[in-house]
Amino acid sequence: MKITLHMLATLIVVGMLSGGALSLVNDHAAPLIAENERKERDAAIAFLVPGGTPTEMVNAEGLTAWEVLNGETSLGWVIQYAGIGFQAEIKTMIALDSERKDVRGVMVITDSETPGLGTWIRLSGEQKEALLASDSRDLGDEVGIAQNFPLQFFGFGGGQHLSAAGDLKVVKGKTRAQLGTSEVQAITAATISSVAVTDIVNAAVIKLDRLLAGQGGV
Amino acid sequence: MAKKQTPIGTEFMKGLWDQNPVLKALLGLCPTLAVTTSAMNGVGMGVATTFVLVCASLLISLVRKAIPTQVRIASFIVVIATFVTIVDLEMKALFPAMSKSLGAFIPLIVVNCLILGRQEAFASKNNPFRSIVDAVGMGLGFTLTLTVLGAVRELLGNRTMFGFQVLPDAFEPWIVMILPAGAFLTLGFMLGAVNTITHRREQAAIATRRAASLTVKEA
Repeated sequence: MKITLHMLATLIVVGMLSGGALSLVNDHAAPLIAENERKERDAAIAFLVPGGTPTEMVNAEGLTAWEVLNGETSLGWVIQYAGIGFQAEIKTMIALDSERKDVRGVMVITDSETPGLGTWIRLSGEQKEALLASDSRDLGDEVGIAQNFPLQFFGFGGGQHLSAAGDLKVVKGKTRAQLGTSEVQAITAATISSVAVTDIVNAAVIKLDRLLAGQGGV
Repeated sequence: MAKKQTPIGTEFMKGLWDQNPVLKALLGLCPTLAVTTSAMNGVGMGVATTFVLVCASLLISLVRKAIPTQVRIASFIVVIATFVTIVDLEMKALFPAMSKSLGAFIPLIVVNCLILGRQEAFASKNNPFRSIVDAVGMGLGFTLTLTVLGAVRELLGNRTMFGFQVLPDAFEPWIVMILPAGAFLTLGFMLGAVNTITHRREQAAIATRRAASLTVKEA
């Protein structure tokens, strides 16, 4: 009986001390973590639709959407949405034009895809710099190369953009000239990651339309 | 008669070579293979693991006499999990890029058998000072191994070292090195090298003892 009480008391004390310590650390860390997430989100919005002020329009069912406004003028939309990738969740930021008809960019914020293959769904530093240096953000000549998978969401030459009707599908082995506005060229040897990002974009635009319609339309 | 204690210097150094957790004991191989796609990831995981190891060893050696044997493993796990959660939260708050890069492997330090193994084998039987020395030595051995493994993979798989390009553009990166297969290959070569060195040292020691024995007989 004595040893049982000793065991119980030990576990209770260890558990209480652990809970107390974690509570203190969480009080310190939680605001910093929230601030980091906010900074990352704001930087992604500013990159995808520059020059405006984001106004949150929808925050429901795991989807958050901002309309980026310059005064009264809409510059575009940014959606934060996540889906399942090859190994774990992929969190993305998706840019649409002001009428929500075209996709104007996709940034993967968080993923656990295969290094060297699936990780090509992310925008690299060099790609970001190239996009920032381009007025049209349309690096069409670069589309069709596996490492440049994310660039096709920004435009694939001649002012063409991918459709935001939720009908994007992944294709393989096509040249840039053969690609249509609802076709996304897959990353070689990372089809699952390519399909995952494309499905997230499709699901996000369809869900945004539904949520906005439920609010009375925008 | 009191048991003779190992010198404190030997206690520290054993983690670096003789009982290196990865290269000799093959402990903690999950993070070793999974996160070492770059040297910086190796340093980050090593430092996080060392922090948990040192803190858990200190606390457990302090309260070792108060914890009943029957619930010692449960208590050790709660202590380890607490420190791992502290590392996870602080990393997310202060080093978000590193935290993202290491992903789920920070919370998984809880089940790293190196940490539980050192608590059970050492910290629960030794005083706080010796436990800290043991933990720092083991942590340093773990960190160095992960850093070397990550550096080799990053160099051959990405041409860079700690993010800086080292090999020229003419060198075509070996993508396999940053894939899981590259981790197994690199670790295999490292284990082979360590075993070869250990074997040669043992042979040299045997030869020295034989020579000394012959000298004594002749005398």
